[in-house]
Amino acid sequence: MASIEERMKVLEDKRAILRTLHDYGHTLDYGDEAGFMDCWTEDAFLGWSIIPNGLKGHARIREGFHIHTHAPEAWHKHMLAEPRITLSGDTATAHSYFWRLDPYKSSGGAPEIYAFGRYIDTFVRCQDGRWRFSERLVEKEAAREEKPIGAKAL
Amino acid sequence: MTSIEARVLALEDEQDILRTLYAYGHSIDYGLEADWINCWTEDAVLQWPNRPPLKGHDALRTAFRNHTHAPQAFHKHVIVEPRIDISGDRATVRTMFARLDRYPSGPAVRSFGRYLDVLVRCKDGHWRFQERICEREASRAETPIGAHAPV
Amino acid sequence: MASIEQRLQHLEDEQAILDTLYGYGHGLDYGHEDAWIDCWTEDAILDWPGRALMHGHAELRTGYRNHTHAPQAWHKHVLVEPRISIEYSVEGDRATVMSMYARLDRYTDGPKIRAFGRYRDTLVRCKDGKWRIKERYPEIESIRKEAPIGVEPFPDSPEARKALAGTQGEKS
Repeated sequence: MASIEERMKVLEDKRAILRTLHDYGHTLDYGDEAGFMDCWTEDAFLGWSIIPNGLKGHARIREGFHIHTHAPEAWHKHMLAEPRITLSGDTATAHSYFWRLDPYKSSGGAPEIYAFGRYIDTFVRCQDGRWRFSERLVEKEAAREEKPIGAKAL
Repeated sequence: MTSIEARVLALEDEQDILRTLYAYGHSIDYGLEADWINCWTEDAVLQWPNRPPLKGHDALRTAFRNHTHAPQAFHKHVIVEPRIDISGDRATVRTMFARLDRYPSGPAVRSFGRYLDVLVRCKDGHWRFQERICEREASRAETPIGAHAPV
Repeated sequence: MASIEQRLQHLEDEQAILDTLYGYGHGLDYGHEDAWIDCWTEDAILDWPGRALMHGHAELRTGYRNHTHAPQAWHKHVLVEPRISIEYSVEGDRATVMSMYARLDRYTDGPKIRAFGRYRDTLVRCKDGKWRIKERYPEIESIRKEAPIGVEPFPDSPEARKALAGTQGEKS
């Protein structure tokens, strides 16, 4: 039987991981660079599908953040749902759903689903106690071809 | 080191705040007036986009009655990714929202944006909104089936 | 006043119930049959409007196999805003949960919401400690007529439901 302390730790760890999962979406959508960077370990990997071979390490992830759009130049929402978190000591994995919403010109500025899919994440408990991504793989399962309002020409 | 008691309370506070956040959506979508009013402190302020702020239970109740609910109109006030920061008896919360509505061509996202909330712990121990600001970032011009035209 | 033990138990139960609710969507969307079946009690009921009622593991399994899964079809059963109430009792612990869902699918011109509505669930704590769904009554409030890529159209009329009553194995 796990002790009260051990059981508390499980709940608190899951809550902390959820926080990092949520920080990702909010900081990316609203352009909070420092907040976004604080989600990643120094040598983390971010596998965005539009970047061949993904982004490895803080410097590259920061570049990725700069390439991405943010409010108010573009309004979008990285909606995350149904996170399934599995703890294993000081590491954890999480599988979650995402659906991104964007406004589209062809819909008169109305929001449409830009894409949906799944995040496959690995987390590490860092020395300061915060859980950070050591890896995020983005599996895009459906996407709209038209570029949303405010998208950068890449 | 924080006591077990304080740590349990911190987790419970988050759960109770989530319950209030969810009660807002469910009760406005399904017309549960008492449930919805119970989400607010007596002097709470609700700021919907492009409308004057609503202050206090009476104004909130009138607004609730003017809002559509199932089965007159089926819509969903969906919130995800709550970022909850608690400081004593006060919490600030930022969440993403999407409103889903029925259109002749099928279900679609009517709008999306962000809620900026302040909740407080009330005397009965429950957390209620003291302030909710709804920032709408994108919306559909078309009027959904059974619902009011966008303001 | 509840003891620390009871309060902790309540927090853990809410977490465990969420795990089961999320297990439903992930299991169905990605074809994890056994994980999905493990979300249900032996005598569970799943009553999809427009489908024959499923009762017990064998019928649930048939229903599951007739449902699409990735990579044949990509869809998402997105569940949000679960309102969980747990009742503790010597006869057995049970929870009622009301949540919103949206189902996202692929269409030729991009991803769209295929349907949205509400799940009305009852879960119970089983002997092994896991919370499982005993009853799920989904309500469809809005549905797109057009069939998504890789999926057949949904029979969403009372007539279609009547025609399906008692038949299992209809393609979804």
